Amino acid sequence: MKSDIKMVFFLLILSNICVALLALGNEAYKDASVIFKVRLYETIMTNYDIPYDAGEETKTFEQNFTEIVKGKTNYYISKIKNRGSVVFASEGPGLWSVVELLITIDKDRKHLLDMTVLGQAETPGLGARITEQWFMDNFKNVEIRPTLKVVSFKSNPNEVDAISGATVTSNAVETIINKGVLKMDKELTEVKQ
Amino acid sequence: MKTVVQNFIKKNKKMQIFIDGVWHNNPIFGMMLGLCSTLAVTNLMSNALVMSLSVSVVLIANSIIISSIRKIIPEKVRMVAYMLIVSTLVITVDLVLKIYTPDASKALGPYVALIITNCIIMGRAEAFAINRTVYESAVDGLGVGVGYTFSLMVIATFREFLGFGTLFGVAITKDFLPPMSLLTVPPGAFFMLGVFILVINIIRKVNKGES
Repeated sequence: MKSDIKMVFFLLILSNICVALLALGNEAYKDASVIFKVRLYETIMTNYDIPYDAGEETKTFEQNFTEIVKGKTNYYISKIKNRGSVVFASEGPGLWSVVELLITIDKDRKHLLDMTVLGQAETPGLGARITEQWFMDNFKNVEIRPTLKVVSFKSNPNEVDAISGATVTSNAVETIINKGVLKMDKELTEVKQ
Repeated sequence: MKTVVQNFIKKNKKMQIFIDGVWHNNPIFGMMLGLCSTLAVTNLMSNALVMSLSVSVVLIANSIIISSIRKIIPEKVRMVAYMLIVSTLVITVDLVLKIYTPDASKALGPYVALIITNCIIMGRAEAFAINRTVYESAVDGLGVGVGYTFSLMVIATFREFLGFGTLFGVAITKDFLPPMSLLTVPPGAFFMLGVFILVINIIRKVNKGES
């Protein structure tokens, strides 16, 4: 009996100490997590060719974009340049890793304006080539209706050249974009300008 | 010379514990523990370095904490106590990495958080720290940590050099050796690990034959 009480007290005290330490850590992290946001802002503003000063990223970004949070996705709608166009991040499984893309869609929600790879760890020399500029430039002004297609030889306005030897990763990019667009259609119906 | 070193090691108990951790109880090549994260993070030297330093820090801190409170931990709940302490340490390390090296933290993905379930840490706590002094446990943690770092860095050096043709991201064999992409992907890690276990076992056998 006595050992049981000791056990309970020991665990209570230990878990309380651990929780207190973690709460402190979480407080410190809250301030630091801003770095990731600022980085995303920088990427978006570079895509839009919006000049910004170091240290003023958030301020410039807020002047140019409206943020709409729906579920887990943050949508950024441009207020000045390409007014009405939407930027959001979408991710999904590639061959080895999670592929994260930043997708920009025009105000009619019919064309892709830009596709930037935010993160991936695919096969170097094959799937990892999705980060090369020529591949990302492929996606400029491509139609996304009815769906975007990544094919070997493009012949329609909604098609993009795939990377030969990297079928799985190319298909993953297609799926991630289409899923992201589908989700945006559902979540952003009322804010269409 | 060799016998002098051997005698010194034999006489010095702390040194013996350290050497045991690095060589005889080497977590990867000796005990074969924590292989999952080893295979996943050794594609680049920078990833391997951050990962092995994180594991070493958690290992040493955990060994010190467990051995310093070993007399008040009730035997029945010692596993729960390890889990609580390890998770607190790992989450702290994870947050520190996220704050100070966001890129490395992103590259390692979930593997930092998975240090909580790394058998090396639980193994050393249960096998060593729970019934040794604080100083000995710290030395053991340091030894196993150095052994882990050494193993990961060896594998990562070969995988990055042959797979990407770079060392710590600096291109070296760009013009004359085509990169072997196989080594950069998870299956390649198995080949590399197998080769190293073979080499280490041969060295062990030869050493045993001598003494």
